[in-house]
Parts: sequence; structure tokens; C-alpha cells
Amino acid sequence: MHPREADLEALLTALADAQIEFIVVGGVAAVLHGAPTTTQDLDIVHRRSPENVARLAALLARLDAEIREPGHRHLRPNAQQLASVGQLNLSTLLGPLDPLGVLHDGRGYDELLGHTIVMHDGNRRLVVLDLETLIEIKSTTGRPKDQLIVPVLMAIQDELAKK
Amino acid sequence: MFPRYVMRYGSDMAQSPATPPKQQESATLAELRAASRDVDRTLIAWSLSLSPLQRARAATKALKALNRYSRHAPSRG
Repeated sequence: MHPREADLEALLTALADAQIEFIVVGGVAAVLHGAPTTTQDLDIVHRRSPENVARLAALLARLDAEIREPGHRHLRPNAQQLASVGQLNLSTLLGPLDPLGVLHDGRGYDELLGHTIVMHDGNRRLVVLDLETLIEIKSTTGRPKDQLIVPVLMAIQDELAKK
Repeated sequence: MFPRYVMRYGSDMAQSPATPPKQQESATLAELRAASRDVDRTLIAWSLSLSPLQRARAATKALKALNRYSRHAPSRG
């Protein structure tokens, strides 16, 4: 049975070590920027090139990924789905992982790459949506849970500006 | 207006009786900026002292602890 909480460190490490090109978005992007929050799953926007989709599909197979859906039919994600603009909600051995073809505003990997920062941890490299873009997105989705995180992200901006 | 403890990023936040959804939806950027001045910086400073993967690990540990608590909390009603 797959865990219901994402092991964020393990998922990020697995994605980075598999040489997958992805941008961390959503609640985990907030966490990586320093927000002391929690989140159930990891949202990523991946590059939808055939090579990258193949690498992601291979990793998902190793992680026993299944589509999270009410019927619990153990449906496996496939390369065609990963190459589309849609969002997949997956359950894996390391917890929930949601690869997005594009964000709700239609921006995909290539459009977002200019709005990211690169974080280094050891020999790992994580590409994360930058604070400004994260604040912009979170404040315009209209979802209360997104708006609640915005003051925390703004406070982080203030703290970073002091340094 | 915004909790000063570790915030849980999830649907249960939206259901907090202290922050009615309508009020949150109408928040402007200026209101959100004003609210950011009320955010306690202690945990943020601690989090910023960690590496990115350490922050990810801390978030996972906090979520597991919260979920353990919610599974053992007495039901209402």
C-alpha cells in the first residue's frame, strides 16, 4: 500500500537523480523557499519532451505509480498522458506525486523556466518556481488555501531582503 | 487573522471557522501584505537556516505528526 503522505525529500531526490527536468510548484515550492508549512503531495511541471517523458515514465514505473481515483482500479500512468497538458494525480511508493503538463494558467515548463530559481543541496539541483511567481499564482487562484500561504511567502520575501 | 503556528497546507485550512472562505476570497494583495506583518518570523528564520532538502524533510515529518494526531483525535458530535 502506498503512503498517503509524500516523502518530499525522497521524491525530490528520486526525480533529481533520474535526471528528470522538472519545476517544483505548489505547496512544496513554498516549503523549499522556507515556508514552515506542510503539504500532502508534490506538484511538479515537467518538460514534455519525448526523452524527459520517457525518463519520468521509467521512474514512475519503479515507484509503482498508480492514478489516484475513486475506483482504485490500479491504473498506471503512461507516456501519452505525461506528454499531454493535463494533470495526473498519482500515488507512489514514496507518496502522492502530481505531474502537471501545464499550470492552471496554461504555462508549461518552457514558459515557467524563466520564473524559477535553482536550489543546490549537496550535489543535487532543484528548479523551483521563484517567490514572486509563486505569490502571483497563489494570490490569483481564488482558492482560500492558496491565499492563506501568501502572507507567509511575503514574510519570507521580507526576511530574505534583510539579509 | 493568520495562524502563528505551523500552518497546514491543505483543504482543512480552508474550513477553519476563524477564516470564513468569503473573507479569504476577497483578500487583496494589500490585505495579504498587511497580514504578512502579523506572521511570526521565528519559524521562518529556523526554516531558512535549513537546506532545501532539510526543509522538505521537516515538512514531511510535521505532516506525519499532524496526521497521527488527527487520526487519534476524538470525533465531534
